Amino acid sequence: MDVAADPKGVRRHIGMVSGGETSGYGLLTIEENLWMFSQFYGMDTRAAKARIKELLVVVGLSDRSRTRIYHLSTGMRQKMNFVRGFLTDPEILFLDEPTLGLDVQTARTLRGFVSNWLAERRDRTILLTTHAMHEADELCGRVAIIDKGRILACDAPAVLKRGLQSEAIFRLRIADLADAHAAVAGRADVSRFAQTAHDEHIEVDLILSSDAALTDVLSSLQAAGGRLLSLEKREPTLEDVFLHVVGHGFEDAQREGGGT
Amino acid sequence: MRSRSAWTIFWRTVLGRAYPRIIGAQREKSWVFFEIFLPLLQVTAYVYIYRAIEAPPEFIGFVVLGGAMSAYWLNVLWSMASQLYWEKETGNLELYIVAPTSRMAILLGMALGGMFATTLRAIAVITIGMLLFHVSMTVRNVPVLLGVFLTTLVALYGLGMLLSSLFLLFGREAWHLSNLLQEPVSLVSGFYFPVRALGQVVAAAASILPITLGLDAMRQLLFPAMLGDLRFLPAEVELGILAGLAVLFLILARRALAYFETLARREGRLSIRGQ
Repeated sequence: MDVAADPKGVRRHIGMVSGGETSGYGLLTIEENLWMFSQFYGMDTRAAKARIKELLVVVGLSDRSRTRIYHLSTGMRQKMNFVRGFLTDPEILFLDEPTLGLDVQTARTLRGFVSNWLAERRDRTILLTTHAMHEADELCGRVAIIDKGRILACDAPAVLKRGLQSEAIFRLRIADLADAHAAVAGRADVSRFAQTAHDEHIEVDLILSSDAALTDVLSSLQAAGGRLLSLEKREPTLEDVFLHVVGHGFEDAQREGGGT
Repeated sequence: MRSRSAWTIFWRTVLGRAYPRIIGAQREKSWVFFEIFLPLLQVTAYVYIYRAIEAPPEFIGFVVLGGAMSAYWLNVLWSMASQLYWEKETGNLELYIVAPTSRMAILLGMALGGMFATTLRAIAVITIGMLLFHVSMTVRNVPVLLGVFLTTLVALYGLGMLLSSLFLLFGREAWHLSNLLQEPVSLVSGFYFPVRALGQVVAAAASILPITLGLDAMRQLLFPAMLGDLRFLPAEVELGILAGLAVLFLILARRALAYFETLARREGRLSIRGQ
């Protein structure tokens, strides 16, 4: 199907759920809002109501089906949005930062819901846009890392992480040093470097060419006035992959408008 | 999904989008005060002016009818013209665009839902006004009166659909036009007096607004003794122009929506930067 030539045809096959959505009408109940959106897809009312009932049970909102949506919390509202997205059983579903701003429990419930939906329907596709790399790792069969509009890497999460296994990945917590950049960046044995500031320390993520390089890096940090609080050698994560392929930290990329 | 015809989706969308407006009238009772009591206050002020200057009693009827019809204009201005802009702000517009439905069906649903809720208000204003001020009306030609009323609504809501698309295109600043349009239109459309009093040129210019001709024609059909001298154009002519306006506005609304969609696809976003 040609997206440009037949946009109406494409719409019959897709759905969308965004994080932080405030869609719907406050005066309507959850059930009424969902029914209204089902009508935009031409669903039969009886079938729509049965599906709404079924999905509200899955996301744990069945006891709230007659609550007007202006009474809902952010988490409940996002659960309702999820039901709306899955109501028409789309072949391709776009999830844009779907768990943004949600508490841990709700986010986990919704991720579980997505995983089950995909497991039960092998012919369906979800296109997830997220800055939460653990979410991408958990839900995605393939991950594309995009920076400034360019795809820098695209593969299965395990394959992307395996690409880093020959490198040494460390996370350091350092006190008494505001910025480790001058001490670490630019060294030949440091492949990638990123730091995050916390209240009383900085957290430094390093990808080194080998374990042996760590001693020299620590010496440089101490010479710059830093005091090592902890050191952790880690298995590579998607965040490390991001750091490796983009060349700078994930939070830096967010500030500069990059995404994954 | 694929088996559902575009026609089925269109009409289900109309019903679905009309629903919040119909049910909203039952759930948000504050409209009784804001949309019946307040317009009646304005009607009352004009009634006492006409009584003070000993104007013919039909003028009281003009005012009551104008007060009732003003509810439709306000509904078009605030709940049609500004609506797509608000839908964009709340995130509903994205979902309308993603759905396999016609944007015209969404607008039609808004219009029909708005007409239903506003008709309740208009009936209340006209009934209370007639009882309070002892207005007597003589229906001269029921089919033409109904035709004028319905064609006025189609043309008026067609204008609302067009404005809705334009307000979306031009964003927040255009939305402020609602504030700007509200009072001048009530003046030039002759909500509280026969529009001919403004002179032929102003009345002709104001005829681009369907409510102007609709009101004038309905007054002729309800108060025949008066409008022999005060009418702007014969009711049948006004009905013909209203029908033309209805078709014109609906076509322009459709084109404006198509232009908006093309622009959104080309730019890759629903809103223009900075809005």
